[in-house]
Amino acid sequence: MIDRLINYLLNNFQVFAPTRIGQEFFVKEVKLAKEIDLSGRITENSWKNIFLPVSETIFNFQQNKIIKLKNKIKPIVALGMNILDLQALGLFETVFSKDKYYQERRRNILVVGLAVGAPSEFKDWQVFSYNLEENILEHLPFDIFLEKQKNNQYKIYESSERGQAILEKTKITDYQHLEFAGLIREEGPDPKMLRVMDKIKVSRSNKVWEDLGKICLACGKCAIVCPTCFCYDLHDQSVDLNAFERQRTWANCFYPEFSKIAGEKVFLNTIAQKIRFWYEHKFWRIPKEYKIPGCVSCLRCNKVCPVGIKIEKTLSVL
Amino acid sequence: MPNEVIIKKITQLSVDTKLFTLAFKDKIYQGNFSFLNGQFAMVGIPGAGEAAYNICSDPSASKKFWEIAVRKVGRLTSIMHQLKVGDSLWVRAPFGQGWPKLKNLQTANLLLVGGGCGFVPFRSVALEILNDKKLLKNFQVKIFYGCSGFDYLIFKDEFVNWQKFFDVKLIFDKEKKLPKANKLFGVKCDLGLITKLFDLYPITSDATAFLCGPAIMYKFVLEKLKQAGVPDQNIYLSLERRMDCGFGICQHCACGDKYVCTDGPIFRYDKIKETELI
Repeated sequence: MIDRLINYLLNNFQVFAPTRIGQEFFVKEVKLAKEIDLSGRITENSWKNIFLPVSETIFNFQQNKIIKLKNKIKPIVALGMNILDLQALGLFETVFSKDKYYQERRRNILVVGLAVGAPSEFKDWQVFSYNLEENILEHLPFDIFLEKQKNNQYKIYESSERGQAILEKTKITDYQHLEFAGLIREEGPDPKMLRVMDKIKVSRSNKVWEDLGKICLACGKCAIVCPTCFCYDLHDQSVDLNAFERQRTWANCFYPEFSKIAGEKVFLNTIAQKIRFWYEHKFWRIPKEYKIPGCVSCLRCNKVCPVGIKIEKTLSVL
Repeated sequence: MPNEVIIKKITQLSVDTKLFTLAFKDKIYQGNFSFLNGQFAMVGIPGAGEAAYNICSDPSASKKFWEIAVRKVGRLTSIMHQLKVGDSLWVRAPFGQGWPKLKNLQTANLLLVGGGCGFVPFRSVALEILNDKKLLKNFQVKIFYGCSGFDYLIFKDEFVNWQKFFDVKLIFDKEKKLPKANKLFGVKCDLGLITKLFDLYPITSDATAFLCGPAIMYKFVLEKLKQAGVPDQNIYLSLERRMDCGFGICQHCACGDKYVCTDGPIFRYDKIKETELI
């Protein structure tokens, strides 16, 4: 049943899915079903490049006129997004809800979620404690969701007309409809998230930032792999003498250009300030503005940090 | 999406600063354009990018034209300084929260304190008052303007008129000798830092202070305001940060839970005194 769905997607979409490369797992474009890894492991890279490309041209200037892009974007499937990555996608949907460039791209992306049961590291994640169990699927954005059962069979859900149409086309009839009930649960914003926010608000003089500032190299890898880091730059790129592209590219708050203005003045001067800026975005600004977590506890940042900074440890000493 | 504006006039304000008088190419768009004192525009040139500039003309003339003062300090501003009348710029505007509405202020004793090119946003405040008889009658306006040298003064041609209605004081920190009769463009001058003006011309606790200048100026001017007994809630500051989107999304101008582009660039002091914004 699942094979039929996957083959249909491979034949009709550009498919991005988790795939195994050596000992590691990456989200990348796949052509064959056998390349796809459905073990539910958290991939090294996040899915955000599919939704918010590292660099995208948002419009062109030609002969002093703005030329709107009419690129046909090939339909894409994000196949096998786990619950944490779907939460990160939910944040993007909220942040970029009025962003027409994001929305145009998003309309062409079909999202297929995947769950294979709680990961073994789950007990280590209590510091985040976001409720990942009860009714979680109703609060996640997806078109189709595949839930692996203990008997290795998949329970299938759809949450959109588009998802339903694809299931019908692949002659899958045993599925359940789930109505998306918004990212915020009925009982309100996550209490633990609010507690962390209250702590970070008053943490400016906490020694932890200076301590982290001493070991952090400001390499910015955590921001690159983070599925919720969405900071961006707007800048122009020359095509020829009379043509330029306005591009939106990923920004990184650990790099000096991030806060630099004309005259070479930089506002985030120390590594301690940059680290705190990164945490404040996830645990203060995002929860305050959108009432949803700015960190989905995927721990990709821990994995890539060259000096071993652990996000859950930082939060626990605030 | 940026809109094209045509440069209608260019005025050299000082050795490194030009005033650009602009109007949207689309006349209907221009006819509907409005802004508040202290709001800013994202102004760009294809290929050179965009940056934030305070709109410094009279808001009541916004439907006909509007102006920005541009100091040559980086790549984009250097290219802007080469432009001629009739050339185009590309603009998204207006953005941000402006200065508080003058008629809503708690006191009618207005003090404008500007340092260097931080003086730019006060021109639209001054023009709004000068062009509104009621405001002109109700407000006592004192202007403290600190500048490095005589050659860097901006809006000096307007001082003679301002001096008739406002109490304007200038101070220069890099000049060694005062000009003739200690006056420049009809305005009394002194030598030293801007804080010296607070010693020479004391202010009263009923002042409402608008500040715009470098962070170091804020530190010392805030001390002087505190000594004079001006309450924190009657002090407003204009802050500077890198801005890319203008909507509070891209994060470049974020600090704590504030965005300079949407919550500012003008902030009431008591609301940000515990932050690192200043």
